[in-house]
Amino acid sequence: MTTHPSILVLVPVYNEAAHILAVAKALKEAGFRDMLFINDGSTDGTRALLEEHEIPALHHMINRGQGAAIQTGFDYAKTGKWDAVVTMDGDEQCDAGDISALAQPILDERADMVVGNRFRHQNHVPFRRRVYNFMGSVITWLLSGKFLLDTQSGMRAYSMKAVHTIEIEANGYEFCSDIIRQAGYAKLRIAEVPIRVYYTQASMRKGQSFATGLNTVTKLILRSIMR
Amino acid sequence: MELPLYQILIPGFCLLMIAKAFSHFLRHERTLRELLTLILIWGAIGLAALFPSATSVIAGFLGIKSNVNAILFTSIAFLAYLSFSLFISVENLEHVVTRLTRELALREKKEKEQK
Repeated sequence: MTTHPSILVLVPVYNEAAHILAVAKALKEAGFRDMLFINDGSTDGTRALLEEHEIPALHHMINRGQGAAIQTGFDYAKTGKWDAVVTMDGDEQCDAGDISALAQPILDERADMVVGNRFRHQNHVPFRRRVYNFMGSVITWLLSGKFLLDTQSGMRAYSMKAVHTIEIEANGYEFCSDIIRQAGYAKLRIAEVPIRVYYTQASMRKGQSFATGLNTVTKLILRSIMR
Repeated sequence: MELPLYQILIPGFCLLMIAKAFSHFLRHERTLRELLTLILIWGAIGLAALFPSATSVIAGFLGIKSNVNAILFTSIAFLAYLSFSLFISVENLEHVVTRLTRELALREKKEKEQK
């Protein structure tokens, strides 16, 4: 088993007690010892489980959203000496085996930010998700001038330069597009790498719905106009 | 030529918003695309206030045939600005709560690592 000491893996979780042990195990098996779960105010015993198994974690006292959780992870990452920071969802949708390929452009200094693209592999991405994602890509392009095929992917890799540059202000799902907008402003180099993704009924229930999508779009536009 | 008060206030306010956007652009807090979009939006509102007759086509389309359209227009613009401002205030409060939550989480982690 190879180890990857220079990569910190951040896993934001909210009520994922059923999945965190499997995610932590998969990360260890893939050789990633430096992991940090960010428990975003879970109420399902996630905290107790993380503490019982001595999994490195930060705990938000109340739920603030995935964007807020990732920024907390970034703030922690700034205190260490990693070459790259990777974020992945804590619901077993992502494959820890993809992290190396995702972080490689960062380690090779070819990119400052790498977005995991769920649409390049032969993944069974539900049609609804494809539609939401396409809308997200178009809106992100309008706001940032950057067109990416998968702007809503939670699996991403960042250079330390990007971690220090990006300041996530959006708590909710709009943070995905907001990061790309900020990266565009700061002229960070953005790349996309294909990743695998596994959808379950539970993960589908947790993702973006039409209502949250509309909310995300509204917040993105208002934030851009009134900022 | 004597201008009604709203034809001075609204374009003045629009100019102020354009100046604010321009200032953000100069401080590299906005892109050229955003600046141009804002100039377009606030410019259109300002021009519509200065030349209300130009909106007669829209007014006719909407079925508003009196000068009430000017009052409606002004009210809607003002309410929109108020709701935007409210949105920003709520967002700012959210940020404060988030920063506090984050700080507590990081402090707890640091204390655990020091033990």
